[in-house]
Amino acid sequence: MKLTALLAGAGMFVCAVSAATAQDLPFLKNADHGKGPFKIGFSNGFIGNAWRAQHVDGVEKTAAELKAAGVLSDVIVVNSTSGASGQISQINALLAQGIDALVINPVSAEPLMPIVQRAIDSGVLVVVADNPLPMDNVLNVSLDHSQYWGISTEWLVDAIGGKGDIVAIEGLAGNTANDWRVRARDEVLARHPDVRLLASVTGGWDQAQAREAMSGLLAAHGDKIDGVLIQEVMNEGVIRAYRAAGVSRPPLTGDYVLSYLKLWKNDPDLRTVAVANPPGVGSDAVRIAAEILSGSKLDTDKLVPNPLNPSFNNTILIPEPYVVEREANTSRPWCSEQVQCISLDEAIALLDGRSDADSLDKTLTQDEVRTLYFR
Amino acid sequence: MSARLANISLGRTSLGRIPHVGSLGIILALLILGQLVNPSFLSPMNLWAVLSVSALLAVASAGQTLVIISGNQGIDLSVGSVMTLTALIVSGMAGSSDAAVPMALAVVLGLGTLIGLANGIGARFLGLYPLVVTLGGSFVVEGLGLVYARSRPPQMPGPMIENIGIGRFLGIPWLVLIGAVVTVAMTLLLRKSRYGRQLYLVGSNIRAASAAGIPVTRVLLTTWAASGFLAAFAGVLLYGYVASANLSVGAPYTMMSIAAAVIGGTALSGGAGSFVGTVLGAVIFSLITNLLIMLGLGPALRYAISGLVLILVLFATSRDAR
Repeated sequence: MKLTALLAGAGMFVCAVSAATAQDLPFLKNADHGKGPFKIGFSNGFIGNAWRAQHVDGVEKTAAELKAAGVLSDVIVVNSTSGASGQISQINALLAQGIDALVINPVSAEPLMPIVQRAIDSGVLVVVADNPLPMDNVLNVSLDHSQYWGISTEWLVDAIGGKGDIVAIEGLAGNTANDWRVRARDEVLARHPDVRLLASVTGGWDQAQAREAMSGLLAAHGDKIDGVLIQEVMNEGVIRAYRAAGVSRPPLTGDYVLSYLKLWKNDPDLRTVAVANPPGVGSDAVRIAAEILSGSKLDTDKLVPNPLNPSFNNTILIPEPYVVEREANTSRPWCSEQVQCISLDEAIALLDGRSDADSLDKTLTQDEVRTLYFR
Repeated sequence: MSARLANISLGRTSLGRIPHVGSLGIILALLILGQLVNPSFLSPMNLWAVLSVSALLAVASAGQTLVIISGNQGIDLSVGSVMTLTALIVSGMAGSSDAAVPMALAVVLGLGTLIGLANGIGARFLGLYPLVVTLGGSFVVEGLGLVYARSRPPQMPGPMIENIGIGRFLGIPWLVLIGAVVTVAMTLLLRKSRYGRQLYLVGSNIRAASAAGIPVTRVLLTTWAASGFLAAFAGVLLYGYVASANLSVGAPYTMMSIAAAVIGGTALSGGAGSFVGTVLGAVIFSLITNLLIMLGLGPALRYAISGLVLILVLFATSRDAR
């Protein structure tokens, strides 16, 4: 009885809002917060590495810009250092401060869904950055992890001449991005039956674990390994395992962090590629949230199915902006206006003056966000 | 307690009295199993790789072993964060040149000692459980790491650190040589020094030790300071091992250091244990990881199996330590 009344009320509310915005999308029901300026909360689920530090820096810079422009009144950034429980309590605190939109990079999907639902129930617009949530009433702004490992795998297959034995070092099994990437890899490998995946082990995005794992793989398979497929962060650990073992290095996929690009530059024999997975996606998500709050209409043609639940059409996929090879190879099938194929020197130039731990990044401007994703 | 000590020091001849017979048996079994699984398991390349990881873990567990032997609920949960902090600082201070490495070493070893001492003061004088003090301490150290990493981002290491991580001397990896030196030093410290003898007594019965005129506070504070110092040193080795530092690089070592010490027969109740045991524990740990990678098992199965094997190993090595 009570539930029915609630549902009816919610339905009427949705109808009223959709009449106002003419966009009948479940994740936009909390889009209308008046004239602004608006208050946004940004909840980051993990702050343990340089990528995340850059992710948060990007958000803070964009927040300062949008505040100066009078679009936003405040952006409260919180970082959880204690996993899902920490993130949940921080979101509770954000809600208590009366935010108009919540931009969240969830540490993991399941435990965060109830609090995100609470945020929605309390009238807050929710935009999920980077790691998507399998909910229909949020807008996911994710990086295209199919491209990340799909292009890497295509490159490796080509580098070993379309045939041979490879091994893979994954990030963390069960992690959304990792599993998404593994699916993309397997799709590519399915098209190349002459390439055999000897083993796929986890390195936990940790150099020490990756080096240990690669040492084990080297002992087990030795020089039978024709190529190594590796996710970011762990590449230097893998190269060290090869050096320590004194085994010659086959082609291997690389990292998009400046220290790796420099190492690559100084090592003429290293055959590698780097697909950038930009931390700037956090800033992009904040800009998209600000644009929605300001009343702009989303271009629904740009929405793609939710990567975790394809029945929801509520995801904006930000393309991986750069594929780096020693010499730029723009004839590659994956090159496009949005996925630029650049040379190692160009990549290093893009990071000129930055620290070794900084990643190759791309953040959209407010105008670009408007043109790309709004009508 | 005294019977167990006598056991270790006298080293009787019957099989059960051979020190570390459980650990050695497990290592032998793992080696045979590994060789059956893959003929290159016993290749020098793989064994040096396993021993290098073991040496790193053993040094990371050295301070933990002292703290656990010191008893009175002694456990150091700040090992991982101290290792992270030192890796970050050495990376930031020394950069890609060797010139500043000695200075960076002095700073991190000094800082590690101070952190250890602070943990000890919290545990000894504030009447707090070491578990709580060091957990809190680890958050503080983590925060310092975050601040430091932001102000002075990590860089790639110079030749000296690089050499520690992958270089060899007379065909033996530097990590293994350093691990061997630490093993000898730790064993002499525990078995031959006055501090070592006092540590076992304090760990098995602090009141009796105090009544016997042992400077209990000094022994405990020395132990905690040593734990911080050794964790800082392990952080330098870790930086050499992986060649780059990030904010979570040391995190896994907190739990692994406890596991290595306990597998090696150090009693969580204090007063018993040896560093050779911890080294063997570290070797067992590394062999299991290596073997499971060689088997090519999926990650879920690997986690489950390594957990089960660890419980079995503990059953064999440290059941009497209760």
